[in-house]
Amino acid sequence: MKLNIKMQRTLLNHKLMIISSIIILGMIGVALFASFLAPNDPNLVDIAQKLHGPSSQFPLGTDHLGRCILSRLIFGTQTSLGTAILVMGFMMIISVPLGIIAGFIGGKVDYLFMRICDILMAFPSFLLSLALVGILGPGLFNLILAMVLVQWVFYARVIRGMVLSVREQNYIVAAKICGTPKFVIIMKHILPAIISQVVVLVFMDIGGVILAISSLSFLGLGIQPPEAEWGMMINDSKSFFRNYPSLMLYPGIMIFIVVIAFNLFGEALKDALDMKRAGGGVE
Amino acid sequence: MRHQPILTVNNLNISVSTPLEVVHPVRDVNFALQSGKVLGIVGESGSGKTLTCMSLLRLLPENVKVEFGSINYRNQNLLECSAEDIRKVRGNDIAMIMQNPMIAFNPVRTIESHFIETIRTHLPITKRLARKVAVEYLEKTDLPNPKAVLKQYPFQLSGGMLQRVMIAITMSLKPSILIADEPTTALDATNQLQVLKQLDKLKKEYNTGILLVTHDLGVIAQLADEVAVMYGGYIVEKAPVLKLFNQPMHPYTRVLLESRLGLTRKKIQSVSPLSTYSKNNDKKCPFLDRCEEANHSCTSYNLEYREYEKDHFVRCVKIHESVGN
Repeated sequence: MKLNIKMQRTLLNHKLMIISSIIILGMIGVALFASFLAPNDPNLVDIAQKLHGPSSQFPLGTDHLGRCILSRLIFGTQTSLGTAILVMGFMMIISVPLGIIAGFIGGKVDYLFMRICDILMAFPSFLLSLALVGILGPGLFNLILAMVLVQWVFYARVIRGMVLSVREQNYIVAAKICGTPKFVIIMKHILPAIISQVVVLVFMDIGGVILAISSLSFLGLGIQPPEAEWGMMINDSKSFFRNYPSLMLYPGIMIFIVVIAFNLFGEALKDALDMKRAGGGVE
Repeated sequence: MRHQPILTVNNLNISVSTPLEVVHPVRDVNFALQSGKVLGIVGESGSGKTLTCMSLLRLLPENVKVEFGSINYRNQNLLECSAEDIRKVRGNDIAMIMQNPMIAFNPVRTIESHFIETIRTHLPITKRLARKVAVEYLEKTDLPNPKAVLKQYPFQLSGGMLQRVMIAITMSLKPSILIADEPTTALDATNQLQVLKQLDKLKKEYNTGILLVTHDLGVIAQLADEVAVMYGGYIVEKAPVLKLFNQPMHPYTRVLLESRLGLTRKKIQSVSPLSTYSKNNDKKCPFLDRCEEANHSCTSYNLEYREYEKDHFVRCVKIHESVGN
């Protein structure tokens, strides 16, 4: 019976993983080939065509400036995903080395690091990014900067925790006994041991990053017009919500699909890489 | 004739800070190790054997500190040299074999990569040459088919094989001192013998001084030249191996020897070993609670470590008294 439930779980997992990875790959494809896929120029303003319903020229209709909604959604994929990947990438570039150094060296370095984390984590992170963008001024670069500066501590702390559990392994002690330099121990023993967990962490959280970018753009602090971005599209259409709810619905659905796809993929990946639950085998 | 020792440990005192108190698991430890000789350290769990070993390589955990004392290796005080210097000493000059070989290897990397990593840390040679060296030394440990062993992962080998691989790795760097921290505890009898043979070979071929930590008196009898008995953080008795087995002086050594399997076996009085050093103040014999011969003089004496005969040191007030009389 137990095995049965386990098998069902694994199968379900498998399905989720396949579906979510298809969605993610599809989105990435859309982002990469946006200029081929979009039927119209996403930034072409044509007031005469404003707020039209779906037609053969504009499959999803037009917004209040007469721009093609489908094209804007397609180009929005590019901005949203691209920015999220950049933010996540920069965060990992900062937090992986710092987390490993703090966790592995320990002592005073670790203490100092933890206090910096405590200070940064004492503020609500979204509010802090908001304040930073407010000070730096809106724009793509400042948005990335603000998000990375505020959120890297979370990841660095989690990675530090991973390193702490690996550090106490006997083979690390054995490597130290053999006189292996710290750098080699980190590269050959610590990093390979934590990398799968880091990948899971990235996929679990990238949905949150996309949400945060959209939220900041919704507030007018992120991506600037005329660039297409989902959060900004929601913001643009909020004044027409009563008569044209679909304007707000489309970007909302896009955000929902992408975020849930990444979250499910992260979950499935976590289960797949969890050796205990997968039944002990690593293929 | 006495040789110059390569490693001397003087007045080593180690303290562990816990949130509640500071305890001293190692006190006043003195010993010297000569090349080509084996010094055995025996004692029960918690008597400070492993901490002493780890302090030689300066690999103590963060809350453990060497209070005072010195560890001299070839005119270099290992407690005071830089982190980079001590790293170079590790493996190359002072190697160590760990207790449980099954967990001392990274499970996701092959034996070969462990070998090459260690060799290339200390010697400026190419990977191909390192591989050759690895095969050569694996052959010396009588492992069948060394080339196949190199390609295998740690979990594919047995504990005894892994322990021999570990010895091969340490041998390949020809260290002048080898610390073997309970090298046979995790192994069965056949493998124990194999490992002991390898250690003996290492000693004879490379003139390596071995610090053999164990609680197996049989292993000591077979391999050691000199034995130090530790109790409650002190070395309570130190003597050449035959002398220790034939004329044990300290009451603890005597009950330890009597507790071996045999016709005249006596039960050793058991007390939680942790209580031995946390309760202990400086004026009380650590073995007092379990000693059958203790009397009032054991509660207040300065724990003097005296040479009773040549090379035979004892730390017991009763012995001092009887010799004095």
